[in-house]
Formats: sequence, structure tokens, C-alpha cells
Amino acid sequence: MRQGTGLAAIFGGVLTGFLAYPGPVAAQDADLGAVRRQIEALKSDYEGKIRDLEQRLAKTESNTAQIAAKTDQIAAQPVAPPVAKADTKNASAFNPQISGVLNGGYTHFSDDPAGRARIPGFVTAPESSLGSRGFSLGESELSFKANIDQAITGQLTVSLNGENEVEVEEAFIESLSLPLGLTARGGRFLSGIGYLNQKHTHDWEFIDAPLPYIAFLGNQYRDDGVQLRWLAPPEISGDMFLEFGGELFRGNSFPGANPSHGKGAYSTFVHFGDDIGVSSSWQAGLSYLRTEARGRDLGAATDDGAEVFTGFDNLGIASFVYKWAPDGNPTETNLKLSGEYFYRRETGSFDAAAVKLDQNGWYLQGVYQFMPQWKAGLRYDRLASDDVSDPALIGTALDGRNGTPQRGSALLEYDTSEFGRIRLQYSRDDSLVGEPNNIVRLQYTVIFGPHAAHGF
Amino acid sequence: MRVLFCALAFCLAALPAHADLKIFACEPEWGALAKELGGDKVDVYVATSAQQDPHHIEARPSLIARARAADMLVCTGAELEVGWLPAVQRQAANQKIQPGTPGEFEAASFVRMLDVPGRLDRADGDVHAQGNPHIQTDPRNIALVANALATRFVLLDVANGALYEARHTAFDEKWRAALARWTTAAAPLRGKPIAVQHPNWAYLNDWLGLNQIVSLEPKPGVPPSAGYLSEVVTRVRSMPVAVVIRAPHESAKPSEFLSAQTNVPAVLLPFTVGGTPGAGDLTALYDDTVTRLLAAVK
Repeated sequence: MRQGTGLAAIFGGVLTGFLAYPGPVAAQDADLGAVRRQIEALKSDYEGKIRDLEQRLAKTESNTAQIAAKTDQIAAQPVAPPVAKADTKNASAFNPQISGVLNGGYTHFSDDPAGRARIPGFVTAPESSLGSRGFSLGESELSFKANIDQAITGQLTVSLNGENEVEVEEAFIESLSLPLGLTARGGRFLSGIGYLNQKHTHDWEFIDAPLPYIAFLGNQYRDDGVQLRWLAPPEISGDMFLEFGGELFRGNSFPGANPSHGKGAYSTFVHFGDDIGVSSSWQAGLSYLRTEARGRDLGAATDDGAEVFTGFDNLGIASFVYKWAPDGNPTETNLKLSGEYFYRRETGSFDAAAVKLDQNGWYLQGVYQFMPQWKAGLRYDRLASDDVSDPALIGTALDGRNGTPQRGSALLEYDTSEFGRIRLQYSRDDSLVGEPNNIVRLQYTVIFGPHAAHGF
Repeated sequence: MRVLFCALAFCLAALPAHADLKIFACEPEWGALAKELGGDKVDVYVATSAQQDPHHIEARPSLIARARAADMLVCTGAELEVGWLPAVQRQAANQKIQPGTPGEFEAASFVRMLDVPGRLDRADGDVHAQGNPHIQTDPRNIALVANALATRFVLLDVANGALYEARHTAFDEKWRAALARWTTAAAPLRGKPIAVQHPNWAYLNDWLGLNQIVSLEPKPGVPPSAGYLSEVVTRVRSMPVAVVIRAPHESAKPSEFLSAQTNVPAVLLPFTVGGTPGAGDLTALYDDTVTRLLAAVK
């Protein structure tokens, strides 16, 4: 580099000396003209080149601006749509939705009515026991759901109780593509009567069933049979929810037994509901269930002596549920009120004595979510029965002993999320034979598997 | 019980003869988009409001009644409505809107999903297997969904196909102009650090280049404890954010607490159409979003 600079200086000096050489004037003028022309040529050449460079620079600058503008445009462009994912290469992609429910807890009774809980005036099913004292595992449920094909969907729910017994809770198929708002179902399923009946026990607000469910349905009515529901179109319902349904059952579930021709029970129901403004919504229903019992003997199963009933039960249920949440947003606070009234006429013979009894029962409950994850609730339930006048019935299970079975319960619930909850429930139970019982239950209920959609 | 007064035959005879598409929109933004594209040829029922959390909706009787009559569902999908829509679809007994039919339109299938989880575990909070479902916070997604929705309208109602196509072309032009306007106006927001109440702003962040530093929920959908909030306050003090944002259906308390502790402005963004008084329609939704952010960040 330095050498180059030195050489340039020497050449520069030589050139200067040459230009300053005082030669003959004419020759000098001619030479000068030639040099000037050369310099002019050089100058114009360089000026052209500079102009060219300037133009190029300007062009580059405008290109940069264009690119910047384009970048902005691209930023404002919609993002390209995705490529559909093919995550379904193996056969297990067709596996059904599997979900499980676990629950268990601790129960305290002030008075343990060992064995079957007896409600005076009512014959109850063996399932209606109070459960056992201390720690216990509740029913663990496993549920499988899938579409069978374009026309049918299927569901299987199996429960495993704390005594290691397996029971098919529900196993049914349901139509997917019937026209006119019709849905048909067949198999074993929870009947659509009432409000709580078709909800699984883990979806109930309180840990145990209300008294009328215990007395009239053996906790919950489920049986083998068929169901048809029809949802009325808006032209008829006026944008209100209006659903009619009918069911035909084998009839071997309490209060029915030993059905004739394997179709001993049927039901009809109507459910209707709507919104009130944006914050409230409601649903009400009227249901009717008729069951036949032929020689039903619950006493034999429980060593309580003969309790043989043959006859018919006609049960009517009026139910309502009301839900409120500010602006219809239940995440912070919300309220749910529900109640059902049951009326039953039982006719036939009990332990060879003729019976015709009118019985009724109801419950009213409210659960309020006072802050996210926390709920508090109250429930009152009671039963009433005609007094028995036939001396043959005095002292039997149907003798109400002039009592009014009733119960009051309070609930505190903490939800870890949508999938887990812990509940503490206190009941003062004055429904059983004997002194009022103070019952405290602590229970956890968790659900795993796919997020299930809940009905109203 | 109008049924008592209205004999079936009479009612059916009184049915007005119209070919309008009856649309059940799960969220206000899709209701608004359906109206933009369908004009008076569509009859839109919007199932939820901006004050409601689309994750937590009751499968109310009124929703089942509306779904019974619908020709089409326009919903987000990506498990946003998983807690209630399947129950509504099943009970509505309406073949037209069952899963997998052309009448079930899921907007999230037509955009690039963000926040797709690497692992699926409920211990991570309210995660969605298909990604963050709140796609409407980026208006570029609206253009993509509009394109797919117009195509679906044509498929379901061929008779009015030309009208839907024309309306879509007009909408698309309007939307591109609006996009350019918003993007230019929102340029000062690029790279700004923000805090969010619930991580439902992934698409907004992606669009405006906002840098989400912290969420006021320890895990998506898990309400913050006092301990976690004070942790957030410490973090924000050492690493300041320009703004903390929330949606109208979320409680104001956590973001106002952070704002009071750190002087970071707490901003309510419309989140969807009708979320703020200024967000009356789709265009106004993003106008108001950008305006509110600029006013707070300035």
C-alpha cells in the first residue's frame, strides 16, 4: 500500500514536470489543445459514469422503499391457511372417547342405621342405603362413547362399586340421523323423567339423592327399553324449547318387578324451557311413570321378613330448574335453583292386604357460586304418605307411624377446576325410623378423559 | 305454551316461504361476519355475548331450540365450545348441523393455529389440543375465515351464490384496506412488552408484534392466587410492561390490582364484537382495539 502511494507520488512529479516543460510555443499550443481535449473527454466520461451511478443509487433506493412497502403489505396480509394434519395414521385413531369418574370420601353418622335405611311408610330399594361409616370408595365410572356409523352412536358406562362389583349403568345406542327432530334410543339407560333422573350421580349438586328419588325411584330410574324423543320445531314452540318423549321398559327396576311379557313399565314426559333476559334461563317438565310389580319381595333380599307387593305404581313428577348468572356469564358467580314434586298412587296388595295409597314428596335446593371455585348450597326434602287403616298393615314398612320423613342439608364445594371437586355436606336427617341423624359427608369427585359437554 | 293454541296443521300452513339461511353463530364475531357476507339472505342468531366466556356456556334450552331450526352452525371450533356445543347439537336432533356435515362450520380449521401444545396434560391448565382457539383477535384471520365462509354459504345456498360471492369480494376489498390502515396505525405498538390476564391474545400479539411477558393466570384458566399475583407484581416491577390487557368477560380485579401496584395502565379490549361500546361491528372491533392500545401505550 505504502509502495503504491510512493509510486503515485513519483509519477505525479514526473507528470507535473512534463506539463511544466517550456517547449516551442506552436507545438506547445497544439499539445495543450490535445491534452485539454483528452481531459474534457475524461471529464465527460466520468460525469457520465457518475450520472449513471447516481441513477443506479436512486433506483436502488426506490427499490428498498418498495421492498419496505411490500414488507408492510405482507405484514397486513392474512397468514396462509394451514396444511391439514394427518394425525390419524393408526387404527387406534378410531378408539372411542374414554372417560372415567373417581369418587370417594369420608362419612360420619351420629347414629348408624346398620343395614337398610328404613323410611317409615315407604318400602325402599336395597340401593337406597345410607352407605357405610368412615372412609369409603364411591362408585368409579368408566364411560366409552363413539359414533358407530353414520346412523348410530353408542355409549357404555360401567360402574365399579366399593365392594368390587361391576354394574352396567348405561349401555345404549341412539339415532344420529332421524328426520323431523326425532331421536330414538335403545338399551339400558337413565329414564328421561324428572330433572335429576337423567343426570349421572356425579353431576348432581348434592352428594346423595333427594328423598323422593330414594323413596319412589330407588335413587334413580334406569331400565332396559326404548325411548323416542321429539323436539318441536320453532313454528310450533315459538323459539321455545319444547320436547316430548315416551319410553317403554322391561320393568324390572324398582318400583317394578318381575314384569309380565318383559314390558312392565312405560313413561311419558314433556320438557320445556327458555331464557328470561340474558341473565336467567329455566326449564320445567312434567313426567309420568307407570310400573308394575308382580310379587316384588324386597324383604327377602334384605332379611327383613316378607315384604311382598303385587300391583301398580303410577308416579307423576313436576320439575323445574332455574339458573342465573350476571350477564349470563357463570364464571364468577352463578345461582342454580331446582325443585321437583312427586305424586304417587300405589294400588295392589302388600303382604296379602289390599293397598291403595297416595304418597307424595318434594325437594327444593339452591346452590350459589359466590366466587370462582367456591359454591354453597342448601336443600330441603320431605315425604308424606296416607296413613294405613288396614290392621294387617299396621307395623309393616307401609305404616308411616304418623311421621313426616324430612331432611335438611347444607353444602360447601371447592372446585379445583372443571374436572375436580371436593364437597362437604351436612344433613340433619329426620327421615328414618329412629332418632334424627346428623350426617357429615366429605367427598371428592374427579373426571378424567375428554372434556364432556354437559346438558342444562 | 303456544302449542296449546296453535294446531300443528295451521302452524305448518302459516310457514312463510323463504330460502334464507338460518345461522346459529356461537360467538359474536362470527355472527357479525355472517351478516357481512350474507346480508339479508341470512338470518343470524348469536348464541353468546361478549360478556360471556365462550368456554363456559350452559347448554340452555333456548340454545337447543335455536339449533333445532338452524341450517348452519358458525363456530370457532378447536375445542372452544367443547363444554356445551356437543350437548346442544345432540339434543337439537337436527341433521343439518351434526359434526362433519357442511352445516357445521369451524372457523379455526381455516387459519394457522398458534400455541399448539407440545404435550397434552390437564396439569398444564386449560390447554387445547388444536391450539389457542381465540383466533378472532387477529383481523388477518377474519379475511381467511370470510373466504371459507363465503364458499360454504354458496355450497349451502346455491340460489344466492352470486350474491354471496359479490358480497365477499366487496368485504375482502374493504378488509384489505382496513388491514393496511390498522397495521400502519399500530406500528408504534410493535415490540411493546405487555401483560395479559388470560392467554387469549396470542393472535393479537402475533399481528401487532406485541411481546407478552407475563400472564396473570399461573396456568391457562386457573384463577390467580394472591401469592402468584404478588410474584407477577415483582416481575413487572423489574421488567416493566407497557400495558395489561383483559377481555370483557374476565374479572377486572387481577389486572386492576397489577395496575394499582405498578402504575401499568389496565386496558379493557373488546375481544369480540360488542365487547366495548365502540366495537359495534367487525371493523369497529379492530378500530377500537388499536385505538385503546395506542391511547394506553402513548
